[in-house]
Amino acid sequence: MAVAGQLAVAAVRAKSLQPALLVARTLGAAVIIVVEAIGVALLIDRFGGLGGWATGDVLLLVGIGEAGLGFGLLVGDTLEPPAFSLLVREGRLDSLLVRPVPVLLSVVTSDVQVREVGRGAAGIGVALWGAWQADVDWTPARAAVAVMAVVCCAVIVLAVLLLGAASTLYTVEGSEFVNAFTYGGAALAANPLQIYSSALRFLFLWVVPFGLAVYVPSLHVLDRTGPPGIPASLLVVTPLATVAFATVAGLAWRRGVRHYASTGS
Amino acid sequence: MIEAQGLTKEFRTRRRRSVAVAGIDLSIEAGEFVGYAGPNGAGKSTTVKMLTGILVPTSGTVTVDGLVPWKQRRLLAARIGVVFGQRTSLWWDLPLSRSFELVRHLYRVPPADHARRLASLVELLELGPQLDQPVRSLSLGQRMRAELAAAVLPAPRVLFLDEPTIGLDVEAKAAVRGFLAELNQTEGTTVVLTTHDVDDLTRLCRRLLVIDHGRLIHDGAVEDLPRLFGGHRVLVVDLLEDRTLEVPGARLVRDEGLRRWFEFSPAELSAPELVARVLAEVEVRDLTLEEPDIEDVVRRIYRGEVSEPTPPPRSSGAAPGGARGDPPRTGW
Repeated sequence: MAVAGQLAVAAVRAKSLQPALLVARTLGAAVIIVVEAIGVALLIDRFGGLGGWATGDVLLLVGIGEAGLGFGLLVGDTLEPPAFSLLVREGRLDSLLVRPVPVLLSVVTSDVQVREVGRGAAGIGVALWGAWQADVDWTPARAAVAVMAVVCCAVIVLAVLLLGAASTLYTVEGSEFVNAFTYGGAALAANPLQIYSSALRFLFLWVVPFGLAVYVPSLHVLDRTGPPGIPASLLVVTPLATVAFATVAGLAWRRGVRHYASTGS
Repeated sequence: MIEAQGLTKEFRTRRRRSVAVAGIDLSIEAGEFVGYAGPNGAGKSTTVKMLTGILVPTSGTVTVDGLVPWKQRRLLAARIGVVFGQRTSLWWDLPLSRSFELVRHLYRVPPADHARRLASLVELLELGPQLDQPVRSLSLGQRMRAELAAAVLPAPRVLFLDEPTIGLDVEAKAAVRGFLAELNQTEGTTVVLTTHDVDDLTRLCRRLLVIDHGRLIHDGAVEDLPRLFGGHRVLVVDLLEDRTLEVPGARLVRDEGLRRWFEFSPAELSAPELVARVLAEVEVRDLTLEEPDIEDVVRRIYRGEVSEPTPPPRSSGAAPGGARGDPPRTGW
């Protein structure tokens, strides 16, 4: 783990060589999220709620989703389709493969997008703003559930990126298809699941479990029982589903590396 | 230290199969300095990638320091050093000293050992002034010396070098070669040097492997090198006016416009003496001495000049077994 820390510090230091640029980008990432959240708030205020949820309730969802996406991208940005595809095509992956540490560690620390901290922090801010509007009674249990939601969401974002990177090891050309699930998934999970069709609900609960990571914990924080079919008691499944999804992604990655090693392209 | 039998690598694309390495047998002892040469696309890099565990062989067996590279890649990585001439393993934006520090963490070198070793490497490779510079600001020669230092810091048992002198100027090449020779002698590090550069081979290696079209076509000791390279050199003469030119001791092998190619044997006629003879005959615009290249070497091997005690005159000798038909090349 000491190695991981050293590699991460080096990556962050490389980014902080231009502090003004870094601050501008981080602030920019944060401002985008806040402006989007204000847009959502205005829209829902105008229509008096979304699927029975008030503005504050939805902002809590938006905030948790964006925070998870921000922290997920902070760690896994190098796995994103264009960046990772370039890493493979330029042969830099070969250099990383001959290091005595897990190649995934070398890949994610080869470039860390520190600006995503802005997105993560803004997400937390939006979630707190929503919770304040929704008059959430912050017990330690609810706070813990909210933190778990952000962590699980970040892990799922990472797992989706890892699946995409694994597929890039097969195709070399990165597919933007993955972004539909990272950015798209986080955005869709930011709405109350009851407004979606049963197919979409199923997708976000049991295939790419953003719903379990964001929506279900939010039910607890907001002290709601949940719509039919999505009871708040599903919370116990959230960490399990997250771990399961991440495991599948990890196995796919290992297969991808082995495939790369047998084709070299 | 390195053992391979029937080592083969095929690349399959949707359209076709190509064989990059077609059944190589290798046995390299600890402490050897082996040159691994061949034309572009001969399968050099692919072999090195299989020996370092980056690629899984299609068939055949391979062990490096007792480990199976592709199965035990990370374990092996801790014991070997790899330098890819055209890629960097350093941290581009950070000061060079930081890269060395990260190498220490990656390979878990004890701090005291690291400090001692780094100090001697920095002195040997003259990297002192560069330590505080970001890697991206280093010249190619400086960077290659830095890559070598980083690869050697963890005291690897085997060092794989893939075209380490490519693009370097004469002085930088000399620095790299001097360092490698010293490393091999003082530490007994096994070195496998992949190169296109005949000078690298003649100055460094005690054993030469030549690969072409995925097959080993030569595996010989340093004694073969003079026959491989030393036999002939070529002086290119650019004349001021078109006229016939004959030089005693050298053979006209090509004639195009105002340019003449003279092949000569340095053992019989030194280059300065040849130049003097040419200048005594005619006025010239320019003179160039051509180094033999690896393609020449491959041609000589096919002509059977290597296994013969004395080089026969240019005559018969097509490729053995017609191996040059339909080359299964794969670009690397």
